[in-house]
Amino acid sequence: MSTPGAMHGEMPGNLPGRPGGEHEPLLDMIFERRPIPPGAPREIHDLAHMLAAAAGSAESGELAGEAAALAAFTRQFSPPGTSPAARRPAWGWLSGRPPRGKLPLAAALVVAATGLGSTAAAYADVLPAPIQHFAHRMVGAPNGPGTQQTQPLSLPRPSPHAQLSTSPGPEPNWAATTLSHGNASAAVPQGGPLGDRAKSADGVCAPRLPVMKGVPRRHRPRSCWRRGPGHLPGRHSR
Amino acid sequence: VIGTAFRATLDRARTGDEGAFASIFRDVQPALLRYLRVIAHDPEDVAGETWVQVVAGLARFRGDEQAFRAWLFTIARHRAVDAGRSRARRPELPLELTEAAPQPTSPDTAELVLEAFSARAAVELIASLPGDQAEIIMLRVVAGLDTADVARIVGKKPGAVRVAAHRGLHRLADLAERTSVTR
Repeated sequence: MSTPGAMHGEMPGNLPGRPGGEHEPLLDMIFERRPIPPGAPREIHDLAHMLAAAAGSAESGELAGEAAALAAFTRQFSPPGTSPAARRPAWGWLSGRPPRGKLPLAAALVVAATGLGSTAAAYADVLPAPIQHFAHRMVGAPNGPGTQQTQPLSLPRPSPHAQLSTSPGPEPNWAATTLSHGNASAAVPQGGPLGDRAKSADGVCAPRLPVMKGVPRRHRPRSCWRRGPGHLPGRHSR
Repeated sequence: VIGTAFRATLDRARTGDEGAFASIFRDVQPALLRYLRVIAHDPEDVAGETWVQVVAGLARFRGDEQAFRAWLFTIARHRAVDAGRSRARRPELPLELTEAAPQPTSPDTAELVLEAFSARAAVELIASLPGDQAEIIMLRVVAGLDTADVARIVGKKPGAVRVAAHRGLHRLADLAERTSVTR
């Protein structure tokens, strides 16, 4: 056997003093992964050890690609038309995030049902007295048996002549009109619902109802609770 | 090497048995990765592409374990060649870095191999051989393929493969001998 371009000393079986040559059968034993005889030269044993290490079992990190290969395998052998999402186990929703969009929808439905139910209960006059009273003031529901019928609290519209303060001073002109609970209609002209707001000339959102000075806080409509000296029209961003 | 159970394992893998496929993967992957470390720049990426192609063709494959290994390493070599061409079209490293990163040839590596016999160090030492010799030794020793299969994979005649393999072993023995003299 000869190979063009190979030097004589490089031909297998002609390498005196080197592995190969007379040791060619030993090299073949290495290739075939057969045990080397104990009487073989030390270089042959070193070589066999080195190559055995190269062909040894898996070391750390060498199987890191298993998950990706298994994923490719699973995709390949999934039934036609079945998406990976469809093959997700049924209990997957327990361990993962809820499906996007379903939770907000359920929450909205619960809130809507609660609101409608509460309103219906208020008009049916079956709520506890304090809540019924609150509903009476807020949405005009019956005030309940045995309680004094009062007009639903409504926010009077300001008189066309009323002047809303838009000055950026520390204390707006809250006290343009004094309103006392129970005679709101007498104090101010009848108007829209409580909490209406009007925009002043400069676009600042200001309360249409002048401040309810003298009205106990618990009797003030909810929209007024947060009104206070610190609430300045000029602090609105808009 | 799985051995006599390989055919049954392969049949189960063909029907979609993940456990059977995992057995084959764990048996072949170390050798595949070490072979690719010698011939490819991104061995993990090329190994991944190889497995994707193996999975795609698994249902059509017919043969024993030796044929399966030969088929898989043939795919791996093709993917490595493709990756090398792609890398050549889009070089990412400056020239001086590319030239400064040949395979390690220092006696330290050989010393490390002889002392610790770790697979990675042994593969690094084999990678220090000329390319064709290193590849043929990896296919013969690490992949466990015979001369005829290796010849088909690398596109050489079986005699040329045998000569290259022996030359590579001589060089490795030289490295080992030098290391023992300097110690």
